[in-house]
Amino acid sequence: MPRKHRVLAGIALLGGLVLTAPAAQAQVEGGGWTSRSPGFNVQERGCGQVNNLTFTLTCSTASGDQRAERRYDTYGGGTYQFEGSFRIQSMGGTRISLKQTFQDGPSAGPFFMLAVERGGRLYAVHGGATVATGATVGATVRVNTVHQVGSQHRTYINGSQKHSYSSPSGSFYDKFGAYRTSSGQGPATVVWSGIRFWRK
Amino acid sequence: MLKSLAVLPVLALLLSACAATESASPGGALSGKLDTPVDVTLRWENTGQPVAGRVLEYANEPNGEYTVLKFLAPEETSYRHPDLIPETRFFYRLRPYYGTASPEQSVTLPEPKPGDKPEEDPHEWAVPQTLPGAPAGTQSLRANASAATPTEVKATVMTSQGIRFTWRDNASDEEHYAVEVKAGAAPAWSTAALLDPNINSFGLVTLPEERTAAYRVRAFYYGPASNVVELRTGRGKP
Repeated sequence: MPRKHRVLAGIALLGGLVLTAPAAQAQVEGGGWTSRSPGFNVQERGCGQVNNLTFTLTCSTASGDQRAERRYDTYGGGTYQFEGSFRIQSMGGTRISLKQTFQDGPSAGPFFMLAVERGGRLYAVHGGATVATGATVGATVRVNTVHQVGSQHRTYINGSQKHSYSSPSGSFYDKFGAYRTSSGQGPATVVWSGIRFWRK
Repeated sequence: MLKSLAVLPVLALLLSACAATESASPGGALSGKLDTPVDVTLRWENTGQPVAGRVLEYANEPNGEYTVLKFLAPEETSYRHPDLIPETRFFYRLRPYYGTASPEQSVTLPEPKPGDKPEEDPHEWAVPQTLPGAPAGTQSLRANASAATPTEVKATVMTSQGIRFTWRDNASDEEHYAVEVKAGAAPAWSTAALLDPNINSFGLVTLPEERTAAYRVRAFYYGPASNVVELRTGRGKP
């Protein structure tokens, strides 16, 4: 192959790599991400029921532990990204937590809880700040969280940054599904899809 | 050879720089512009065949799963997507949707009685469902939209904050049903719920401002998607 053609072929190959590489990486917040597949266990408490990625609270009980969730493995230092979409299939209740970032270990407890009120307002359970609107029945909503452990936890709804928290260092884990908050109640059916995790 | 390789990073940078900061298409198609490194405005024209509305969608991959940003009224011609994820590719497309809505119904909910706890109702009536024995629609929305419009729409007050809607499914080829609401003095209709095909019963738990509101049910299908606008966000706000 003539030298000029070899160079062009190399350029074409590089161009192809440049153009196609992002498909194998995290799609948000630049590059450097590595895909990960943390394990999880299914949590069903009270009237919570889990069927693959469909999470249902069948009762309207306003007390006790009512939850249908996936609890993923604990992660430590570094930066972690979660991506997933939820669709509220039906909701007679209100104040249902959909996505949580939990702190593990001696300081265990919910660090960030994204919940939905009747009518589709998404809010941060701690502090009550409105995160977004539009989570009406049937609408698919995309959630990305980027957690720089020891620095910051950012939440994106449908591509827009809607919330940020300072984050302590320590161990954390992701949970999602349908979980009755202390002031909430079912019934609710939430279907999640497109779940992906990365770290860097 | 080394000299040739040295050119490649430069070329890669050039290719990267080609990532659009503005994307426009002629002829009234969808166009988009980065107003700041992380704020996008999308524009289009309201031309051509009348539509019931449009839906604006985004994805972060060229062939990724598109997510709806908003159901837009026919007269709307722009949308601002703010505070975006930095250093990320965004792909946008616009799809028209077609289908006529049922006549509207006004519903005024009763004031709650003392001790009334509507939230304790199990809300089984609210679950989207196809009523047993309901006749399947036989009319094509695409061929005869008026004949395929939902009829016999009935709004039944179930609690002081809940309404059950039922209707006759006349459409054989709908992609969704939408329950639309115009609350009180609201200037425009909005989509209160988006339902799967063949659903003909759905319970809406209302918002405080919807104590008196108008409702209608629409069977609809999507038209072809517009051109895709690709933009790459910058490093973000300081």
